[in-house]
Amino acid sequence: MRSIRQNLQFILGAAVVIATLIGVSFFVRPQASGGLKVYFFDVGQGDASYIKMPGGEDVLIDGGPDNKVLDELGKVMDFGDREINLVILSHPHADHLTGLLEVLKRYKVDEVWETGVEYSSQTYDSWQKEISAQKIPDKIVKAGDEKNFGEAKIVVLYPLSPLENLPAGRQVKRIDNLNNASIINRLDYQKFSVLFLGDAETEVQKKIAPQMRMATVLKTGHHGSRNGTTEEILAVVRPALAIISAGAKNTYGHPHAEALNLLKSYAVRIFRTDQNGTIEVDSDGEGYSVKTFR
Amino acid sequence: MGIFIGDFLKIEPEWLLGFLGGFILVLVVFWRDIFWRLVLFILIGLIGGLTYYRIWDNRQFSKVLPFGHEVSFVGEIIDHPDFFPSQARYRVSYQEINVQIIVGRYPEYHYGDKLMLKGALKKPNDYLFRQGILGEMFNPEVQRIGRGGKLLTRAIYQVRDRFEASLNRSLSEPYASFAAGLVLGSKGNIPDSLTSDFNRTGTTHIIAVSGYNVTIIIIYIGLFLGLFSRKLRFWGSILAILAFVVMTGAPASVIRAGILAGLITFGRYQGRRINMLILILLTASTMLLFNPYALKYDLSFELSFLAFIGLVYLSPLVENLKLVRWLPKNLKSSLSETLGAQLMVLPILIFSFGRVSLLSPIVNVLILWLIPLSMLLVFLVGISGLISIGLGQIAGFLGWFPLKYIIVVVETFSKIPWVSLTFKTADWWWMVIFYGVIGLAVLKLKRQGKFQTNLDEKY
Repeated sequence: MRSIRQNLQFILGAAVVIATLIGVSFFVRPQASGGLKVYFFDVGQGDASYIKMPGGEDVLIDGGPDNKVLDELGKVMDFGDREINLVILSHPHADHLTGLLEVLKRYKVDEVWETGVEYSSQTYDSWQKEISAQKIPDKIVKAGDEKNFGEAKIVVLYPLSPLENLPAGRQVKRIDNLNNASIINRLDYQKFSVLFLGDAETEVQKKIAPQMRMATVLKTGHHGSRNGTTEEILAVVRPALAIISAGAKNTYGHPHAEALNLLKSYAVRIFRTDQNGTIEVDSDGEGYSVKTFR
Repeated sequence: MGIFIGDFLKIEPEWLLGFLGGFILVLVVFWRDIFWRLVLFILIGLIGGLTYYRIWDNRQFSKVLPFGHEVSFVGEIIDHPDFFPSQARYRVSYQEINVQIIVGRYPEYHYGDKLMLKGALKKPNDYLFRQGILGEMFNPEVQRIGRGGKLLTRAIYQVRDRFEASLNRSLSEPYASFAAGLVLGSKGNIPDSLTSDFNRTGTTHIIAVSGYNVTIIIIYIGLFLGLFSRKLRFWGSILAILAFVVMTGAPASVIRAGILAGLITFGRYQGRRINMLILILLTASTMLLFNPYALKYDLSFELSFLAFIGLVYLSPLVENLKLVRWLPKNLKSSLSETLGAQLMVLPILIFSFGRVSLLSPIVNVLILWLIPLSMLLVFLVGISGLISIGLGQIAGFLGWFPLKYIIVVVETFSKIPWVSLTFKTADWWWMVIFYGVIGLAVLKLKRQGKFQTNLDEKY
């Protein structure tokens, strides 16, 4: 039997520990780190990019083909940060969507952006159920939509018009190539910018090229496939870096040699998740630096 | 009577060695003679076991399914599904025949769901067959058409799912999946790199839920309920054991520990002393009644029992070694327990995995002392997360520290290139010698009286 004194000591000790923790938990909340960090996760054959805004907000673009995105998030998100301010689903193919489901279940997601394109898959059904169950605001976006995070902002460049509830005839056509219904968006932070092409292929890239601006980093379209990188885009965007998100030894042969050669001919530095692992690009709004994790 | 039962059961595992058909000797004739009575009991045990095995074997093999054909049937999910990063594994039962299906991760189905399945039926591999899985289907068409299952089991699984979801919301990866492995043994979501680190350092047992976890849970429950009454403590412990066995999906190690712990709790409640040998054999035999294949084919069954035998018989010997004796008490006991258990399972590990972890005792000593605390904190995180998400996250800070420490230790040691050696061998004769030597050593030291244990603390 413990004496009263020992009991008191124990209770006091426990109280101190708990008070400290509550205190700590308030101070470790996401806070401004002063710079922008963009991570292109190595999630195998798929896409998942995470942006840590200068003000501490989190944005996740796509979730990769499985739960690997959770490990990656665990490594780079702030200790104790359980909230993601914006999740963008470029298009509902499994290699972009699957990982996001578990993200919805585990993190508090404030807002979701998608194109509203019709797509029937069990994973996509589960995703929509989860969103409505949690009552997460689900925005159908089109070119021109944007969201500010302090000095940084995310701008949607494609689709040009909302893809939701298209007339039956056109809908079928859309689904023929869901990649071309991808969200294309740009992240701007002062002089630094990243262009995310989603899985958009030649047809779309040619269409939107005239409206593009220069960008520091290009997240190449469709995992570096032949139809995911076009001369038209490169000529306008003139990126310094190109990021290719593809799985090591994937069966599709991504990235394609033609795409790589094209990038090289524009003197772009190429980083690949299949070779470099997760790629981190930091910027203070002027210059940038690149870190790789392999 | 006790000796009789003990001898009777000890011989049972040897039914594998016999290839003779079943014939039954008449016991009654020699009933008077104590020696013959013993011998005959042993013989009947042996042959009874053999016969049982044969009958079981024939029955399993006689269930022939239309392999390679398209089939369509309604099956009911019979246990907790396993979710992997991009796939889900369900076990369904159709007219007492168990079939494993592997499909995409989403949508998730649950225990008791009745599924309309349509697809090609494949022959299972030997490993699955020995577990009672008679067919396999990959990516069949699945449609949920109803719900069945036992009400209580469903409720327990729901508790488990809620608890796991709560951990997932409160902790980031890989801590969340490690925590789930620690208390529930669900390994599906632990990143591959971490799993291989655990393997290399010989610490996988902490994420494979085992007797150790059961022990810790019972001690906690006992401490808590001990505040009230002896009766409550007994029934509370039994209930907790049962719930835990169901919750973890009843792997061999947990059943073993559950039965033993239950019996020991019962013995203590009744105030009796325990004969460990009889207890172990009784438990093993009971489990084999349900699946006799386990003895030869279920690795987790073998490892669990061998490790436990090592814990009971070898650890006290290690503890008394001159080399170890000077260590502080805590360190000494975790080192000797690790060594005792590892020594027993070593041959099986080499034989099945071809791997020996050289620094395993050191890594284990560095982390084992933290396991009870980690488990307690993980429970705390899970339960407070159920009450409110915010509370769970605050508890998550607390739970994060020991988890981080364990992962850092394991990862650091795993980076040492020579930490794990690989062997390849198909011979088995040396295993007989190995166990023979151990058996002799135990017997000899036992005679010398160097053998005393406090079994009550270990299940």
